[in-house]
Amino acid sequence: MPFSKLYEFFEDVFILEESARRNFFLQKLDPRIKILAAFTGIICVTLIQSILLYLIILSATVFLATASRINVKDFILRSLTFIVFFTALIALPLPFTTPGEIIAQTNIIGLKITITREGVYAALSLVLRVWTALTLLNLLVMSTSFDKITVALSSLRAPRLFTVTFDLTLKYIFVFVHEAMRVSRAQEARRFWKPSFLERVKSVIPVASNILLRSNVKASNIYNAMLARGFDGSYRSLRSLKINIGDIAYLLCSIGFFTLIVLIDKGVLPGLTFLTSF
Amino acid sequence: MKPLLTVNNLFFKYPKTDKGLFDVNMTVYKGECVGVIGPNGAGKSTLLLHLNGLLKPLKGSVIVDGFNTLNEKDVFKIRRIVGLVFQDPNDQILKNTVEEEVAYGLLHTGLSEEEILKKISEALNAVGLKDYNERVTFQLSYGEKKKLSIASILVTDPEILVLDEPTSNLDPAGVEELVNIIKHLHERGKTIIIATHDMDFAAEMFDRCYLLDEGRIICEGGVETVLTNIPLLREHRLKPPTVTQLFANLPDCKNLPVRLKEAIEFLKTRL
Repeated sequence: MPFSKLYEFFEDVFILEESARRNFFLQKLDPRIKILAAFTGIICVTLIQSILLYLIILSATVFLATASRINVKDFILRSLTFIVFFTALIALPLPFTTPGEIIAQTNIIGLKITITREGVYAALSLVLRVWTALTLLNLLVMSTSFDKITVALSSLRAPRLFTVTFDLTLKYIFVFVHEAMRVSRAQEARRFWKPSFLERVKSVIPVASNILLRSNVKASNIYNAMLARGFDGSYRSLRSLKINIGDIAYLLCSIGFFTLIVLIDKGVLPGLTFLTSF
Repeated sequence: MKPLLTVNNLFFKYPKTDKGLFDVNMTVYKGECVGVIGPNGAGKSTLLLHLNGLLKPLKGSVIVDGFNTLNEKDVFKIRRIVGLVFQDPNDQILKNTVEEEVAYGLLHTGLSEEEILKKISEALNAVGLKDYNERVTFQLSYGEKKKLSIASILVTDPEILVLDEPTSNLDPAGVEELVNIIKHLHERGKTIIIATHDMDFAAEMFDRCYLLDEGRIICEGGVETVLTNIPLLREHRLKPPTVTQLFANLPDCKNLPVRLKEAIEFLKTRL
């Protein structure tokens, strides 16, 4: 049942957040520091082009994940799942469409297809860039519970509307997937045959429309419950955040590391230019 | 004695339907445990939403401790006085952990973190969820969620506790626990208003009750009067308390009991 898988995924990511609730290196850090470090990393990733440097950043994230007892397999798979779709949709045409040195060519039903070195490099570079950026975000998410991210965003003066919407979206996604699962289960309980793929796809349509209708009622109920408990449009949290010396050290190390990566990529450090030759 | 809450000639109608509340009057005094009984769709939940200022009367008024729900600047004061526990705890639970959930209402009161944590412990203790602070809310059983939704209202110490169908979907042990929690709160002086169509629960809990159907108050009185009027209850699609039904079938039984305890006392004198 696809909805139950989706429910399990959301439950794991948004609710249980097992890896984020542990108490190891990254989990102990102030969420604001982690957001700033991840943000610095993403800026760095957008500035560099060397494949080897992307791999160095990826290795660093895996190292940090391991040090924080985050399941490395989950950690890699989460971002890879998206990358597979991304590659198929965006990056796959690049080796065939980018002009440059031809490294392979073939003829399919009279259509000449060529693959260029520059195209392969551009595709690989694009995939790695997105993958690295996603991995950095993934490291943040898997080491920080969503409520802490919301508190951190609020503390970093993110617009109130954004913070409250972010906070509620997390709950709503989970609630609606739960609803979808219940409707889907009820549908399956009345099905006495093995459905074909087409039937399965078709069965999603009534679930979706049902959820749309229910979501309206649910949203109104939840909003009423919030108002009844004094909600006035602002975001508040129980735990206040505190930055300690370890947090500052981590932020400085991150900034230093990413600055070094950018400098190497730009060839400012002559002794390390071999890292950009890939 | 001055009433703590009064509903005066309340008229409310949902747009594009004929459902609503029509000329509803209700008075609740401090320390009372009052029931609003009625079948599904009678307007019980709509009435409760008015008590907290979530819905506004189109005509008439709802006055809580001198504050009118129609007066926008008084609404937040009213919400501090009237704590509303929703029928489905899944609609009420907003946060991931029990502690964060209970703290929600308090975060809007300006208390310190230390005070908030103390109050959370007290509220969780009161509903039998001691040491649940770090538990993930979505993994709680329905009964636990129900208790959590009560704790998250109790924590702000409202003068009036309003519960919408608190026994719905609870197993018998869950109902019994809930009865004990509410009785304990009532003994501590809380004013309680409960909407229900569970007449056994109503008999056990209420001092007085209002019978509501099709948005209108049909009758009002002590539970001994209202819940023993079997034809009236049946007319409004309600099942009389089990004990009352049993004794109504016995010959020469004039004063029908509504509670199990009364029935036992009655039988002791007969046997």
